[in-house]
Amino acid sequence: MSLKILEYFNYLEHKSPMHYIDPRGKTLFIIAITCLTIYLDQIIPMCIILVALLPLIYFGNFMKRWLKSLLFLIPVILLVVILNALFLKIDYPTTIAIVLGLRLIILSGFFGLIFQTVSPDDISQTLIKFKFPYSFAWAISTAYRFIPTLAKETNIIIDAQKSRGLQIDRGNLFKRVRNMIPLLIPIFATALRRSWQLAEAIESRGWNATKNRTYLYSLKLKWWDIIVILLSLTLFALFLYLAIADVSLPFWMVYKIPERFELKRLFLIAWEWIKNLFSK
Amino acid sequence: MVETAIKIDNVSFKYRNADSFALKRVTFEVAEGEFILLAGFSGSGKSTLLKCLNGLIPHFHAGRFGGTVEIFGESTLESDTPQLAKQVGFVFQNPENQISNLTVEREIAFPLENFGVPKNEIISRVDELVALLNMEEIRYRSPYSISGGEQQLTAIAAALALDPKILVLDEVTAHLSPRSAVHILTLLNELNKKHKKTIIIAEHRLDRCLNFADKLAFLEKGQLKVFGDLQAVFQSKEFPTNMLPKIPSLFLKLDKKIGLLGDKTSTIPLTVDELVATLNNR
Amino acid sequence: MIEFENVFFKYDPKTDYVLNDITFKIDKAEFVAIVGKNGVGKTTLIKHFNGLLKPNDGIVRIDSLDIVKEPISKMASIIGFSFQNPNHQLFAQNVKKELEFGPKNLKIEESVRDATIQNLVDTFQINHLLERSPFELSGGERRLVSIASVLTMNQQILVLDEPTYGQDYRQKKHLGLFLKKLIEEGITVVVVSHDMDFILDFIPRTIVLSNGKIAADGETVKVLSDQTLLQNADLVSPLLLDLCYSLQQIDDTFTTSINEQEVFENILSMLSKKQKMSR
Repeated sequence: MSLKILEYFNYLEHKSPMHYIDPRGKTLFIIAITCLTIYLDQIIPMCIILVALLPLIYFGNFMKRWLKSLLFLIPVILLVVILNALFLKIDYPTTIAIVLGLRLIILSGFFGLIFQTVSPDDISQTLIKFKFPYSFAWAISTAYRFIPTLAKETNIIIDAQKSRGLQIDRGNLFKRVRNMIPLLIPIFATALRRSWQLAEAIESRGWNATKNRTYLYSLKLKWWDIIVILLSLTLFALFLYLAIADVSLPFWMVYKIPERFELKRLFLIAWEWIKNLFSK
Repeated sequence: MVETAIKIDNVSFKYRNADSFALKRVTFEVAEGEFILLAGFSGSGKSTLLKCLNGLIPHFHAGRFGGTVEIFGESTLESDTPQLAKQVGFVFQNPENQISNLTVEREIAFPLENFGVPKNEIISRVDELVALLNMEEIRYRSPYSISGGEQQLTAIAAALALDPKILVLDEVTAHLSPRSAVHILTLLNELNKKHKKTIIIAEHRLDRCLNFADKLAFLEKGQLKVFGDLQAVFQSKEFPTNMLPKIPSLFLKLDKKIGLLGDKTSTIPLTVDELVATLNNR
Repeated sequence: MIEFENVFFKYDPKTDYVLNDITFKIDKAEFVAIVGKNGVGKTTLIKHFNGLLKPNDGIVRIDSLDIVKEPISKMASIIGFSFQNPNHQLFAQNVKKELEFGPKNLKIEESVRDATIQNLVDTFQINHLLERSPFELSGGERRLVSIASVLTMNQQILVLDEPTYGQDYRQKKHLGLFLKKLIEEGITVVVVSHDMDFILDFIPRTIVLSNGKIAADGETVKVLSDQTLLQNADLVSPLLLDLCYSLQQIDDTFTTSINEQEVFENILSMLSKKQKMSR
């Protein structure tokens, strides 16, 4: 069951074009996109962003998983849209509600994509580039390296204690917490043992032997990263321009759901209709 | 003249918080290029002794340390473990808990990175080791997704990265399947014969090492009971009979019954082929 | 005692069966080894014994109980399960509490519990460890305590996953003799192992798993003399077998065996025959 989660951790072995983009570029891009998506409150710009997102998701090998996660998200989003459309006390509430829904879909796509394609290794290398101490960066990637091991071990420990008659999900809250003790102690004890052994191992591999450590791989900006960064900066500049200068969007980008299609009105009409149906 | 690779002189060690000494006045020397087996029951101090060889004791583990360990004339008291990594490669028992990097290749590069070796040299050294140990298929894999034997291979490659003259291995086959274990031991033999590495290994599967090991050291309760070439050790009274590997044990039983030694041969056969030859010549 | 009838199992509907039509039977007081390559499904198989896993198809009966219908906690009273690494189960403040953990979970009566534990403590010779913390024991002692702690529930069956990992010759012998004693008391013991010598020395029956199926099942001595089977199971041929084959080359009447005493006798008779010939 829970071992399925582990597939995500083999990540370094499945590369997609999105994986080759520098994490710094990707971070900048997501900041710019988030700002724009939150600032713009019109349906058409949202749709444009959404359409632009699709090829990225496709090339990030993320389409299937994104659609799957949307399957769970859509009921929530629908609820948000309907409630807002009905209860927002502003002009054109339906329009705003739809924008809200689209925003959620877009952000789930972008953030998912970035989480999917930025490895902890990227994070640790970014930290190194920004002059964080190497030990800090090492700790992050190593912690990640051992997540699947820990998950596997936790499963074994659960099986072992179940085989000794432990019933994990029985009894009241207090008892359930107590039932966790036979699981938590072995988990912590093995983790502690592991950290000692790891410390011995890295000492023996010359840890901190010199001040000028070199790297087999380090982040280097490629031409496509420059494009991503320039694009992100342009988008960010656009956002700043829109926000500070407070310019209005070109007329073709502004579309508001006409008043006669307001959800609230449709709702009331439907309500009346049903009432009539029953009063007859 | 062959140089002395390891000189252990009167070494004792007591872990902090321990009641008794884990090592008691151990003294022996290993010449360059030798293959040494370290035998002993669990808790006899094998790991402790090995950890003295790259300075984990006394630098990493606190306790009372006496005597000296010299690696090519350099005392382990003067250089710490990371510095000694250039001289001594160390491989641990647990394959999983000694690999800290995200891919096999990264793990091999790790010691070189630590020593600030330029990137192009790291790449060529990694290429070399991957070819030497036949690791092309797992080079870019994550350590989590490979087998125990492959993890141990990765650890050996990493220990060899800095091209140390000495390789120390602490029961590295204990967690492996018999086939992977034999594979690893064969590989160590090759490193010893072809690449002139001095090897010292704590090992339970003595049977599989007799055709290439030079000497055996037997520890009991922290004391070095016997040390010498295999023949001398197996004929020694200090070496417990229940620890004798299969072939020598069978031969010695036969010898007791019908007297084989001293007749035409004065050596104990160590391998299947040697035993068959001895019996055939009779 | 343990019965598998056409058992099929896979973790993921899209993959191949890990257990593909497994049928076998283990009787009361049998001592059986299960061998096979890593990842061939040995652990999957034994997890069916107490219902940690349930078959997709087929029937698993333990002590004539259908495991699909019984909760694991009930199975725990019939079948003891010791995992590879003792560190994955030891947790209590001291060894005594560790031993009491299982019986307390099953609400076994105190007098029965104490008697069982005392009996185990005597056979394992761990009396002097009772007040100590399981975390300060040596590896071998931890292994013994972890095995003892799954036996406290008076089970009829004991399953051990790689019990000899990291143990030396003396500890292995100790463990082997102890398990033999359990067999004599009528307990069924199943061991998953790669340890050829241990299996040869102590376990009379061996089942070989390969590609989700049972590749061989029979007398250990016969099963482990089959070279191709050994390769399939990721085992290496025992030295004694190699020796016998080599001796057959110089004397084709030499009978193979992987029992040390037998090989010894055979060599003696070969030598005496040779002596007569040369006279």
